[in-house]
Amino acid sequence: MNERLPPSELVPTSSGAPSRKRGSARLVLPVERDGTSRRTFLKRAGYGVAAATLAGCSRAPVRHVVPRLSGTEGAPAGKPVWIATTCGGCAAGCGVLAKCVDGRPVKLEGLPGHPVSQGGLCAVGQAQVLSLYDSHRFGAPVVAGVKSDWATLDATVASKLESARGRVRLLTGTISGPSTRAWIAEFCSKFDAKHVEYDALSASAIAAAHSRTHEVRAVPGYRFDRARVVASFGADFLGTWISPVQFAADWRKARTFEAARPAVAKHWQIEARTSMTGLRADRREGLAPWETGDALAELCDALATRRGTPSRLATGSSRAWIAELAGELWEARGAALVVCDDADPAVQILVNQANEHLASYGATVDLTAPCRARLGDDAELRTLLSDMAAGTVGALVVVGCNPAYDLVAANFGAAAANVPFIVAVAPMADETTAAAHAVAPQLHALESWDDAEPTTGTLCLTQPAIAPLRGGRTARECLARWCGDARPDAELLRDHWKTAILVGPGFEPAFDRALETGWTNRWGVRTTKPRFVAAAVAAPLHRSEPEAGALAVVVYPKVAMLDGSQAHNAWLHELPDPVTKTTWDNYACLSPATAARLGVTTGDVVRVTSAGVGPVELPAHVQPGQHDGIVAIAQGYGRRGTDRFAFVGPQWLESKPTVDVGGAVGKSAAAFQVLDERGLVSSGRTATVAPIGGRHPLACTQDHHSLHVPEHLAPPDGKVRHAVRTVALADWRKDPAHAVPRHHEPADVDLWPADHETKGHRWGMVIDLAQCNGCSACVVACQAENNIPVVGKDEVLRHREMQWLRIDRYYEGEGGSVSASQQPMTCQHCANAPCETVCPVLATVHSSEGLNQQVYNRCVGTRYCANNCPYKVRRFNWFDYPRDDAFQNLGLNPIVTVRTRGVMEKCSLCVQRIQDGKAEAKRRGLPYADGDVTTACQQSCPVRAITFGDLNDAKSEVSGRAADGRAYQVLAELNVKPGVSYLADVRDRPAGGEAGDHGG
Amino acid sequence: MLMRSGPIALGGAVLVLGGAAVLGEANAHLPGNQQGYQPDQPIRYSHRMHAGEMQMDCRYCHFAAETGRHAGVPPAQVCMNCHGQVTAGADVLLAERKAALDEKRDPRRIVSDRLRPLYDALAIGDDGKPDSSRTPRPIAWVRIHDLPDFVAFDHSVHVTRGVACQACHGPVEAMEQVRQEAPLTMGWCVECHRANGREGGVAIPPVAARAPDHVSVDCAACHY
Repeated sequence: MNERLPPSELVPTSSGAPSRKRGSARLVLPVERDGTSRRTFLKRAGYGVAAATLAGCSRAPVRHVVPRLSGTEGAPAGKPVWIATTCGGCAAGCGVLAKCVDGRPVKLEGLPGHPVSQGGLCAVGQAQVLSLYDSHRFGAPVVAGVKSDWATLDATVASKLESARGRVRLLTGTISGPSTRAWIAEFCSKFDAKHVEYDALSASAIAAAHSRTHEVRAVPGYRFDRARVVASFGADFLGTWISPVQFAADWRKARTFEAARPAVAKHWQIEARTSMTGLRADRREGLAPWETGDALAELCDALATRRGTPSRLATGSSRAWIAELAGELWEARGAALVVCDDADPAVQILVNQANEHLASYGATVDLTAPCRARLGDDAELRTLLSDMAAGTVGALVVVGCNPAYDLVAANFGAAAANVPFIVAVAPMADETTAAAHAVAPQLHALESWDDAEPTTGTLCLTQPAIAPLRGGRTARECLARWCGDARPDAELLRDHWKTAILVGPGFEPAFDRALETGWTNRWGVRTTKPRFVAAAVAAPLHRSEPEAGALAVVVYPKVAMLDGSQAHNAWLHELPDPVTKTTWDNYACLSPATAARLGVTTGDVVRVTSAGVGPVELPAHVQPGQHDGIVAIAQGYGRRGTDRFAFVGPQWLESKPTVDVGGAVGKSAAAFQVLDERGLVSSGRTATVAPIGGRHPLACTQDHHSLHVPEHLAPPDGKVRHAVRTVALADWRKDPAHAVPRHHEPADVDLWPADHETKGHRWGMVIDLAQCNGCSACVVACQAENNIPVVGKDEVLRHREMQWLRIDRYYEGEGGSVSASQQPMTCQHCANAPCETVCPVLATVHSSEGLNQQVYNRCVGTRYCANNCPYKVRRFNWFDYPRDDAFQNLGLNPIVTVRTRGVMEKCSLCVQRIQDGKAEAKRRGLPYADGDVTTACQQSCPVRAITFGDLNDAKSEVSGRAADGRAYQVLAELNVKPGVSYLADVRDRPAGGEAGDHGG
Repeated sequence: MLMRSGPIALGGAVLVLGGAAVLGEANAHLPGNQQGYQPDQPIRYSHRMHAGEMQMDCRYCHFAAETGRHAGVPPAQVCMNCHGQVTAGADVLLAERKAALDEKRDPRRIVSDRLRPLYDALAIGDDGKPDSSRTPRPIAWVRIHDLPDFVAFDHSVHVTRGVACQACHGPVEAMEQVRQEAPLTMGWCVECHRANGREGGVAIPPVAARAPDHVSVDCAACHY
């Protein structure tokens, strides 16, 4: 239109382009004689065109409603059905409730009241719903490398097993379920076979030690809830050790920090690498892996002296903290607990001795109802491998484990080459199925009938939440078929329970009740407390430290990846590790001093070389708090088939693959383990680490979204406001009501009018930092609940991860005593929300119930809100993230919108659950009651660190906690009035000083 | 000026007229508004007869309306609760009975053509017994009231609050073939929510011993 204006009306702008002069009288457009301005005319014409176009396409495509033919009364369309079952993520046997909508499990939740998990669930458990809909699962049996059918497989296996009778071996991971164990026994007797169990995360040394000191081969039940002092020698009991959800839930009971009923157990962690559990300890001491035995011997001596039965087990030098630890343990004897993850039975014997000195047996260590989540026996595994190598094994049946990957160090591959027939029962292609002659697809736990006995006497039932999606069988059904019993799997399970567990006339109702609750007890299985055999205790073999310049390799499990069985789960790969905050990789963790000595920084590629092991090249990661003498590498990476994630993220012009095509996510560290007379040992192999040049960027999320306040911009009183606050236990005890000083409160001025009145509900959340251990179950729970996409490593490197909930890790301290507070950070639902004031299209507005709402359909993607958010919790959809896998999409939560490209999203405080909870109350004709709604993160949290509810209800739990003396709000001085409060972290440390001034 | 913009004015006038003509049509709406949609269904089911003449409660078939988000289309087995016996029009059945009496034989079972798709779907023969040679196939009804996926509408909270089905679905009991009566647009929803919300009067009769109604106009009441 410019050319129609006379040149005098055009003025140059700074950019040189002509622009219409503002405020010019000539800009009033000429009016036509009939009174219609040109503008009005164009409007009408434009509207006419638009209307004509739109009218032509106003019919939406025809959609159908296809009701079932019969029987939907129990589960009408869209109505969730909850099925109590048992998690199949690991052998811990946690109870889960599977939420099934329209016949599909879409979310797993912790089963309230379950004796193991006590209502919580870990990240791995939460992610099981993703692996259920994994299109890479086997669809049909494989015989001799060719897709086949069950009849062919059964015939092949039967004939091979028959011909190898007497030389058949059955290799499994821990199988605690009595019905499967019964069929294993049947199978072994039919084929004169031998059953060998092993755990990739072995606890065999603990069982072996107890067989010496108590003449019972068992991993005891640990009762952290009864402990007042816990000393953990390297055991990551909150993260990965044996049954972390159970231990975390128990440990929470021992540390409540409630002013009314204070329980304040003390936690010592003595470890070489920096574990998630260690970062939460009150006292953390560094100890090289080769010193564990010496330190425990010293501890035993110190305790023996106090007990009046002096011993001389220790030979090494005296450690300053031993006397202090021994004193504290001794003070708490009867409620003290020593745990250790060392793989040497000789070291574990010393642990038993320490626990015996402390009168732990019968109190915090329960041998009368042992733990059955780790039944592996590494000695038997060694025998099996030597038999295989010697060629005396005729057929090997591998069920539900991946020895070809786990046992690289023990040369499983070479030994397997001597076995004429290997059949693997596995859910998807892995290292073992590649070496197997036949493969039987294994059902997912959510499709299976099964049982588990994680603790002696506690029986958990697994029932299918969905019919098998791709075919397959459980381990029990495979074994039964090969024994010649063709009954359906459900019948096999039921029959065993009828004849061996719920014996008696009332079987049907008892079994139904067990199915409904998900678990039941078996009585009369407790043994009497075994006696301690003092003669078994001996001084440990002194382990030598690596020679100068070399490091000891520590192979450790990561919280999300565990032994690698979850390596096909993209949620777990993209979950930032609680300690390193790094996604999509494993790496060589080096202490800051060691890294400086080697001249490497995080991301530099190093070569780890050890005698007899091919060199492994890994990116370095500098890990505070780690011992200078070790290099720690996570196991479970470098799994075959993980190159599938190459294009897991959005594909665009500059995108880089998450893994190289043909590569794998991370590198396997299995070769650094050792299988020797001690067992499957994960630490101690000597290696040299050298930088080889080159960088491998690590997608670490810790520094994403950080806002650094320079000194000169700090608040006027000169105090930098830290997001995390810590209170010394003594200070808290002195005055629990004022544990956190209130000096951060803003002055009584407000830019905003007080127009956000919430008359009805005001939803809010309180997160207890003294409980949060960083396990990240909440992050995956949120991902599952809210249909959050996976973006891939390249996008994470660009700070574009999509998880609504992140956990910020704040280190504190130096050297070996480094600890950390873990802070779940999500949308704070500010009453004076800075995001709302900058949105030009009102796409983010306040609800009448105190929620900061994000309206996807209004959002035009300016991203102003994310810029203005002081907590940096908003996530932008830079792409339409890949949702091409229709099979995978079956797991989407049908009630939550899948967001499209160009819109902002963030935590909604699970508004769909709020609406459902309110609707349920309305349907019942009752007012909303506290606890009717739990958010996904809150539900999953094993330690109940998250409380959600109505802040307008003075009696609600969340109101009570928000009024706690430890409560504070992050960045309260900004006067944004967050709806989320935090309870300050509490540590048993020397008192005094400003509450919680430590940086990130 | 007039001369220069003449052709544009002419073209525009055509479009204006065209647009006005289209808008003038009863069925013209903005995209997404399916008001008046009245598709043919696989079974010529008459709501007028069932809900109108016979005064069947809506919730007999749409039983989930009180308990769930979706009212649901009933499973075919629900139809068979009655149509296992009532297999054809009364006149046809009476005529057959009369004929049978006259011919001194048992009356034959007559399944009307209108019910045939139901029997076919359930793979049931005319004798009312399952026909093993056929495969049951669910009935693909054409969806009429189809809210977009980004809207979460919960039938149960409306039905249990006493909102009549007709308030949104129109006089279904008078419809031979169901059509979408209301526009089901957001403006239409919000109009009612505003009128009955805290700010407005309470048109919904309060139900004794029930929690006070919170008719919300929050975005996140429906969009999440």
